[in-house]
Amino acid sequence: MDVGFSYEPGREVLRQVTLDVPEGSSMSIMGPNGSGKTTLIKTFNGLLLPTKGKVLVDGLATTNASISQLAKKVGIIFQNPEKSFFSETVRQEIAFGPKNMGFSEKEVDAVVNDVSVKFGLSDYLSSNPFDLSGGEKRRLSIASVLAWRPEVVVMDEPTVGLDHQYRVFLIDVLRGFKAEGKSVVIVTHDVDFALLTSERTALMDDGSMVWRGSLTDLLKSPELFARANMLPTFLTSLCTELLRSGLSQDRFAPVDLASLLGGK
Amino acid sequence: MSLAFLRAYRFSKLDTPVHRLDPRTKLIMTVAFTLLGVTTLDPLEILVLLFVQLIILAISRSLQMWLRSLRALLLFLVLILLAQAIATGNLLQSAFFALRFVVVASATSWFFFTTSPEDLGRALEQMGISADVALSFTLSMRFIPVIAEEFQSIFDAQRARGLDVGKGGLLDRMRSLLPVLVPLFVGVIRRTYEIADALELRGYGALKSRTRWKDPKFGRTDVLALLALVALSAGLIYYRLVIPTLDLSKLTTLL
Repeated sequence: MDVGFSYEPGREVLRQVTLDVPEGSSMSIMGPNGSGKTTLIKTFNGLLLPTKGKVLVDGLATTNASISQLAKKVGIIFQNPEKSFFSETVRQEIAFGPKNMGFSEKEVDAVVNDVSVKFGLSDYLSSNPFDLSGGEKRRLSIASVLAWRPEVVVMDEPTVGLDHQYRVFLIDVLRGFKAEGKSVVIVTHDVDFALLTSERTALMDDGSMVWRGSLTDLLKSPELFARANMLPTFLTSLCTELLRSGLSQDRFAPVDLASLLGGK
Repeated sequence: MSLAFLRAYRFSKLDTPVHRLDPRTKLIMTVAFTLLGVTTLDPLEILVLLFVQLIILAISRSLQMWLRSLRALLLFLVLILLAQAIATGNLLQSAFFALRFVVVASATSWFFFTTSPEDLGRALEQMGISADVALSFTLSMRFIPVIAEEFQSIFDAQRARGLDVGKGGLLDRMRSLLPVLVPLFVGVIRRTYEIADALELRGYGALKSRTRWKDPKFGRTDVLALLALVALSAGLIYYRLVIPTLDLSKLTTLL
């Protein structure tokens, strides 16, 4: 509650940020570059400890737990996660997290096999991570965090520099998390992606949370897009117009809109 | 683990007398202070050198940044202190070694804080060092903070995957840093290739002799600064040769 953080005394990077992510919910955090989004998610698993206020993960204050304890619950996938690869094989890369979390060898083998199938990496388990293609590297980076099955999944700018195929894959993955009852937090500039994957949105500006609410409310207020330095897309403009016309809707995937417009 | 102390080694564009000095003057001063610092065995000399560093840091408006970087280096200073205390059994002697480290760290801190990589490159070229070597040096300097940031982000990403570097003995701790160092070096090598390509694409090396947009000029302040340095060095060397070194082990016995 009212979380504040500063790297140096007198220079606050986060100011009175209040946010709750209920179990099984999905939320996107948007805002201009340098608004404090990445700093905020680093407080979720204790990488940064708030200089003011408290961050609670499943009732546990981040100040009272170790990073690995918190990482077990909150899996964060940072921007360009493939930059952190270091293992000689894909298998070792996936196994790194679960081993650190205290999984037994048998459990590690089981989760490695499970996520490698889920993420289409089972044919590459003996390959060097650096030899994979761009899309495969991204899949590996997500697999290597999801391997220990965190309850909350946080992704920082997951769509930057990715092709359509991977984007579709990512949307499926996020919907899969939701179906499993996990909470999802996405930091993104990609409004369409947020529309397809999140129920709620928070806007940050200059270290403060300037707005939070449902996507429906966001779409009704295009001025908020300008405030968050985001460009309305065709999809968001269409949703805005539909909502202005008096239609009630809280799902914004093209397929939902098509059925709303009378399609079958 | 944080590399926050490197912030004090990043150039900051300010208009202070130290910033305005010719980079060659600053380089000579830093080398002189470092040499005087590492060759002395006398605590009084170290105190004089430290006092001079504090004056320069204050004039260059980097005192606060330097203090913050020292805070980040506190653990390292304590380690020096402990290692020396164990080796010599003399706490004053250990404090002297820690102070010596502070003097050297300060001299390099204000140098990098007040000298832009471009100015340093031009100065090195003027001193007869080849343009390629000067460029390599300035690029390395420029990328220190970038690599420090990269280290921090990889470190954070690995900690988010449960990496704990604080466990076990020294060897275990060093081994646990491998998941951070491997991707860091891979990134640095990749970046090196990218920079080399970018330089070639922009015509670097097309002309045998390069023209310069701005040459650093030796001014009156440079002469004054160098004269002050010569006077200080001469004074310290005279003191070193004529007056016997203050023996800290005897001083401890007296105390």
